[in-house]
Amino acid sequence: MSWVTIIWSMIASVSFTLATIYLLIWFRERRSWAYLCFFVLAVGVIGMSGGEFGAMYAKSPAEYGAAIRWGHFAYGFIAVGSLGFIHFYFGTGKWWLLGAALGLRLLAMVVNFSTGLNLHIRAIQSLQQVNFLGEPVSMLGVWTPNPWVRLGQFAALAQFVYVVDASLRLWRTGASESHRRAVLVGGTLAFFILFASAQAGLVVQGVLRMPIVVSFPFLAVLLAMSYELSRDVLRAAQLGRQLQESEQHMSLAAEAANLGVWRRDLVRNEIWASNKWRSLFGFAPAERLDLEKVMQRLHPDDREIFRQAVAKATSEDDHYEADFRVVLPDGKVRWIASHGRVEFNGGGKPVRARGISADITPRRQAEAEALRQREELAHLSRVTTLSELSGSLAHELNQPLAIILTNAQAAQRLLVQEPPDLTEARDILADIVMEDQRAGEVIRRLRSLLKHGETSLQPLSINEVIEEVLRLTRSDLIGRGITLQRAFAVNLPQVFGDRIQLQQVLLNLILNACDAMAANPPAGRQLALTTTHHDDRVRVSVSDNGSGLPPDLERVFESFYTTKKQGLGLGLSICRSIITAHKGRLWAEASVTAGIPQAATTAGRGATFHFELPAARIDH
Amino acid sequence: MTPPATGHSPLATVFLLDDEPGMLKALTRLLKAEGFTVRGFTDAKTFLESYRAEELSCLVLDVAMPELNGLELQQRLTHMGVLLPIVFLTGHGDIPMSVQAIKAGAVDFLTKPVKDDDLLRAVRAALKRAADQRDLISEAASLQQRYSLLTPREREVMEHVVAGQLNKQVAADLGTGEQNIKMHRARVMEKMGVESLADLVRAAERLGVGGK
Repeated sequence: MSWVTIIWSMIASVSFTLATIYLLIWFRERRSWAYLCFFVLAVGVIGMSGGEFGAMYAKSPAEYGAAIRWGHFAYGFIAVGSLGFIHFYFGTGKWWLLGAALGLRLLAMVVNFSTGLNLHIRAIQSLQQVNFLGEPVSMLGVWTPNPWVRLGQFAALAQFVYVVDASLRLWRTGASESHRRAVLVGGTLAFFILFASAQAGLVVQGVLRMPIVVSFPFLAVLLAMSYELSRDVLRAAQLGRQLQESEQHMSLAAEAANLGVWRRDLVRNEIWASNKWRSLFGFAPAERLDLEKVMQRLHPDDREIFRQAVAKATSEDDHYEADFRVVLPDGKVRWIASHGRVEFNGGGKPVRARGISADITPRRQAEAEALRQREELAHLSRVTTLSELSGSLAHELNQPLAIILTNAQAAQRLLVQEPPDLTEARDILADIVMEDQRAGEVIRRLRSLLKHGETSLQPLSINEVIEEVLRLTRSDLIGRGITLQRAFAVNLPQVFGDRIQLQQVLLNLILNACDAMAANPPAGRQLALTTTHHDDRVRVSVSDNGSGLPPDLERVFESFYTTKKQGLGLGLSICRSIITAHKGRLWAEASVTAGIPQAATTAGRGATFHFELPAARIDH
Repeated sequence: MTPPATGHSPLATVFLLDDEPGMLKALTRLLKAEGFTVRGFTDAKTFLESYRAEELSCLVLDVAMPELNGLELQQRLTHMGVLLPIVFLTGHGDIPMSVQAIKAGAVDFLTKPVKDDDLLRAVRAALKRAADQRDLISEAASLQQRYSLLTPREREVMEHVVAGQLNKQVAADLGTGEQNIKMHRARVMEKMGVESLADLVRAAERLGVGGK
């Protein structure tokens, strides 16, 4: 085998190998167009080496001409591939220079196929055999050059200018990486563009007596480029390792914080999740996950909340946040808090969501326990308050019973008369029914105040709530000789609250006011209940002209602060926690309101307790 | 309505005062069924404004009322000199309260719910007391009228006689004859409508005459 065969087939095979490798890489990394350009360049080099080889072993001038013509065709690939590579890989080239170089090369290609044998040669009269690398090869004997060869040389010049310009710009960006790239790739390419053009030109002009060897220098260009590309591939692998490592750090941290990490592909509806996340939701490590499977794990009552949170994050804003319960395969319920963010593609379409989930069961349990304890305490305080009222309540029950008895006895007497007065008897029965209902109402109200109830919020008319409390305290107020003034605002908006708890607050405030006035002379005990409306808040004020408040008004709301012999000192503190839980506020004021004249002999200055609740928004 | 079987006069009026309209209505029915005339009020002020003395009446009064309570009203009536026998009703009566009421002249102090018989018995007792008071008053009034018919001389004679003096002593004190005194004395006895000296003394006591 001759050297020519060995070298040219080696050029072709090396180029082929490189072409194959980077084509495969490009298939994986479609966006890296430099890989495709590299492939095109390598194909061009293969074609070029084939053309050159064909020319060296041409048997006739026609064969020689055709081989060189196809070699030029291959050079077109080299030009497109190499310039494209510079364009995509450097990213610094000028568009118009690139366009000019490729345009000239396209024109040269047209000339290559339309004038004479090819771009270089118009006609060949004879070939001659020369010794090349110790072997006889065909070479131009007698021939006429194609004057259009200048076009090819212009095209090469444009290529050269484009590459040098792009390389200089890359150099100027400053990084050492860019310097190396500009010299190694840009310099090699620029040099060999000139070299190839000059060598071919000199051969065609008959100055150089040797075959055209353009493929060889472009193999050098190919190698320089592939060296740069392989560095990138190596770096990508290194980045991948680093990424993996930092991901391990992340998941370690997440695991230590009991956080499960998840990622959802919205296009393919696939969910990737860390093992911690899987254990939170009760999924096996390898189990394939999608949204429906996760949904199945949720507590049926919470599925809608979850669905809405997801819908909101993918349509309105990118932030996703939800608390929900998960029912594990063994029936255990776990509270999960999940936070995440949705990523959108260029067209504003949601493509991916990622986030973390944490087990908040202990926190939820503590909250539930705190609520339970607060309700328990509120109940205790309610029972205590009611026991203060027991005399009055007995009277409230006794009254309707007494009326019923008297009515019934009157009826007995009416019915034995001749003729019996049936009309009156009928009226009596109606009254008996009414009074019985009234007694039932008292018992119902009492029972509701005494029972252990869970907080249940509903729209309420605060004036009605006050009236209900006044019905319970009516005879107590009379018994204590207290004059009641009420000033209820009409058209008051409703408030959102728990009826029983608000009654408890009112009961406490009213009884406190009554107690504060115990030392007043009987004629000077004045209680005022006022409701007003301030913007979107409803205010209730309970005023007395009794013994007044300590200088530090806030003290009365402290637990175990009391001025009464039998008081626990929890009433006002519980009242405040109830009102706060209603998103309202309760405060004291140590002054006499305009409505109540101050009794001359009263030592204290009286007190007013206000509480405000947000008005319920009800859309009709 | 059939006349009641009981013996009181149909003119008997029961004033009724209870701040609870339902109770007022029930008590009114019960008392009316017994043939009483009933005038009901839900507060003391209105009652005081519209009160007019009746020939025979009593008051059934609820203790626990706003503003002016039952016991306060009782005091007020006493100060005004209204002689109206009172039956108290209360939801939760305590002993000091009832003692105070009875001391101040209440006829009875009943706790609600009250049995009809108890209430009616108390009302009748109150009316009886009213009738007695009326009788006493009318007796006093007739004595007063008789006394006004006496001449000044006769009044002097009566004063001396009820003081326990003999005719002779009276004649000596007044500077006249015993026979003359005897005649005056007979006229006094006749005009005052009494048979004996003892009756005359009692009448004089009522009138506040003599007894130096």
